[in-house]
Amino acid sequence: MVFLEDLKDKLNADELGGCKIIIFDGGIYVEGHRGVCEFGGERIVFLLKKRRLVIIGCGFKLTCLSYDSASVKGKLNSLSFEK
Amino acid sequence: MDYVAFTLPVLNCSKVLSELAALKIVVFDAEIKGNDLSFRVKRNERQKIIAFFEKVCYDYRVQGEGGPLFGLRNFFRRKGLVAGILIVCALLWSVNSRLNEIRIHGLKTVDAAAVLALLESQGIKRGAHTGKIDKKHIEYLITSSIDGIAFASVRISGMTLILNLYEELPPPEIVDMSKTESILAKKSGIISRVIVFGGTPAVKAGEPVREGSELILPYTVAAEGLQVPARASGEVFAKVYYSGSASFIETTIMTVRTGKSKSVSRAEIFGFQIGKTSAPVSPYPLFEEEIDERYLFAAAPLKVTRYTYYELRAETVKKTFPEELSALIEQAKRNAEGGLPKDAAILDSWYVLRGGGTDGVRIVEYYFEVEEKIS
Repeated sequence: MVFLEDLKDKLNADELGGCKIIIFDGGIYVEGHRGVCEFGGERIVFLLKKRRLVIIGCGFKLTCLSYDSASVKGKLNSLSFEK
Repeated sequence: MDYVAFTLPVLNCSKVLSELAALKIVVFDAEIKGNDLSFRVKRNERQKIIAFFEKVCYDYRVQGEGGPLFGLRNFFRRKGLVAGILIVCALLWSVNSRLNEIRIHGLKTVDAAAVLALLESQGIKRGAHTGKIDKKHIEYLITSSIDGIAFASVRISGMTLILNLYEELPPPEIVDMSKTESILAKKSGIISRVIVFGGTPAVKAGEPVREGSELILPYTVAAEGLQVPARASGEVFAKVYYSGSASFIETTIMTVRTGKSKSVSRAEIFGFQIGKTSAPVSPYPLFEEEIDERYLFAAAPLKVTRYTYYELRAETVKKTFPEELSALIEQAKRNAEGGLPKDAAILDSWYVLRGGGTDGVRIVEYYFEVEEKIS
């Protein structure tokens, strides 16, 4: 589990597989995803090149979703990677 | 950006979103509400999405449309409303490009009717098209055709033609030094001061003079009584008297309102009567008329004139002289003040009572004593 406080070092990790994640006040922006595996008000899972990106929080809303980028608005609690 | 909002009752929202993303459709504001997924897409992708949902047999609902251009598109679909608005705008533009009023400022001695007649001869009157008025040409015509006007400025403000005119200054008094004439009195009075610049005074302070009397003679008296011609010049002041009177009659007939009244209205636009064109007539034999003119709309110059007729009744009123005396004195004073010059130096004022004979008529005469230059 990677908590938000530790993200700075992890955002360039190999798990990302060339994808970009930007965390901003009140949301998160994911670029380079390959689809949405799960979508719910408290959990969103994006399919990346090598892993899955799990975002946990509450009040999630996909403000914008295209074939390779997504912007999520809501209260973020944690980010993690799954195989 | 115009958008279309959809709602889908689905269990696997992520599958729908992934499929939409795979179709290169951009989804906005997707969120779960209960068991439904609601989202928005661009309006131009509406048919693509509907075709997809129909193909996969998704039970979708179009929640609505919106966006900045959406309202505008809806508005222009209502052709009757758009046509009506365009017609009203055209009418307002047409009406506002017509002349409704001509205002003339600055005239004191020159008659405004001459200016209006000149404008009418050029086709400039109420209802004329303001765009066809050549202001410079009008300014030139006014200054060249009408005597007494030195400068003219013409401008158009809305539906009003405004003329600012400046009259010529009066020519200076030219004194012909070769002519030797006496200075004559312009008014009758009692001489108070004589200031002689040239010539010989014919009057002195305290003497009464009539209008036309000689005040300063055109010669000087040299040694041995020899008269030497000179130009008579100087200023002569005299006490001049102005009076006014008011009469008292014991029995007078006054008219008072009975309380009944009737109103009639007439409307016109650009001088053309609308509806009844005949002049209104009072329904009462003895009446007082009040006329009220108004313009109802600023955009269209619809002038409405309201004629109100108040019924009057004649009443015989008996008064006594002591009761009316102060009012009579005031009235006589006002009548006397009407004849006073603007900057009169009033020295004294008083009143005199006359009459009291068998005819019952009494008169109050009010006098002002004023010092004036009479030369």
